[in-house]
Amino acid sequence: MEEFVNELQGLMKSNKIIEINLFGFDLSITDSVVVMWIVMAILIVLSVVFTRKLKTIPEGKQSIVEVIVEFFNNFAKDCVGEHGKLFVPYIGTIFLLLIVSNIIAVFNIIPSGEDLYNLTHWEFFENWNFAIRPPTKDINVTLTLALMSMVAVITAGIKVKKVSGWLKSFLEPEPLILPFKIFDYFIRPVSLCFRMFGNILGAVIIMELIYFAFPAVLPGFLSIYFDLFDGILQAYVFVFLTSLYIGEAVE
Amino acid sequence: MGGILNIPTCIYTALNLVVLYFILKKLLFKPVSEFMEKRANSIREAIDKAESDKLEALEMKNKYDKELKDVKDKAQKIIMEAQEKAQLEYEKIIQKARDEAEKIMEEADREVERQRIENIKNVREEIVNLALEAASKVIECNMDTKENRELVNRFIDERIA
Repeated sequence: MEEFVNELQGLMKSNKIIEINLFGFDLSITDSVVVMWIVMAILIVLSVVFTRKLKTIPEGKQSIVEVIVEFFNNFAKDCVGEHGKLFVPYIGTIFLLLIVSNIIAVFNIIPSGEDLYNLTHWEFFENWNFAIRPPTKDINVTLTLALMSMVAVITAGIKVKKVSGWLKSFLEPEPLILPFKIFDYFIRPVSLCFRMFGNILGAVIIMELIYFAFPAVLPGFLSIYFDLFDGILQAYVFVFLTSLYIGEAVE
Repeated sequence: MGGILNIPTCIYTALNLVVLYFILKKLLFKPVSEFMEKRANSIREAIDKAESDKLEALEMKNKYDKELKDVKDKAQKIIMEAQEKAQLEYEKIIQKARDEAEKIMEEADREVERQRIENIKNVREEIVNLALEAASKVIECNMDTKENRELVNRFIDERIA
């Protein structure tokens, strides 16, 4: 049981996969970053494959990619408004990144290091500790994504309203509201960050508990909710709030 | 907290997001959006063109309908005119024929009259001759003088009249 508690605690920490030390700075690559790279590679390969030879009359994979892009276009138009088109690439990028990141645990087909060591008795696997888990269970990742979203919100406001207009928007409709508006810029990333982190980490821990308690059959069904549905829902919420903030900033 | 917060991961995540943003923008969103916009434009153009073609066709149809009606009217008018003219001509011809027939009849009447008068004249001459011859036979002398002839003629005139 204690071992299991340790394992759960380990889920919350980032595992260093590659240790890099550059000029005294620790630049080690953690498993979250590696999984993100896998996610990015999947997205980039799919983008290349799906956008090859676009035809006027869409068929097969082209209709899928058109539906996806059209969805982001409409989503941006609905949430952001008339300037929505400008933010489709950003909204779409975080949406795709988050969806694939959140549900990638479904594809965790890599056996654990312990199993591999028991199987092969290779020294290499003794310290092997890599599993495909959502990078969004790492608070560093969600925090960065939330901060990047706020950067996008600020950039959008300045781009559309110019610096003076953007600064003035802090005093509208009442100068009294200024402290709250400034406070917003701290509250929003924190809420975005912790909502995503808590949900995904919670789902991962619950799934881990279920695997521990019922190793077969039941996890399959519950995984549909905790790995797929919750992941997609959280990605949607994150992107929806981000685009609402952007829409408010450019209004 | 030191165990959880990991600055390099944050930096890598930020870099990953920026890189992915530019790559997806270039590979996915921009080409597909542009492509779909282009297609939407071409469809819009095609629909607009079809609409204008339809309007043009309708205009042409109206024009041709009007022209056809004009032509029909014209034809009707020509036929009417021709009929009128034919009627007039017909009446003229009939009138002429009637006139001619009347003239011929008149001439015939006059000829008959002339013939009659001539016949009467001949008969009278014959009667005068016969009377004078009979009278001469009666008195055995020639009474065929100018005075007697006048006398007999006057007598016959009196009787006839």
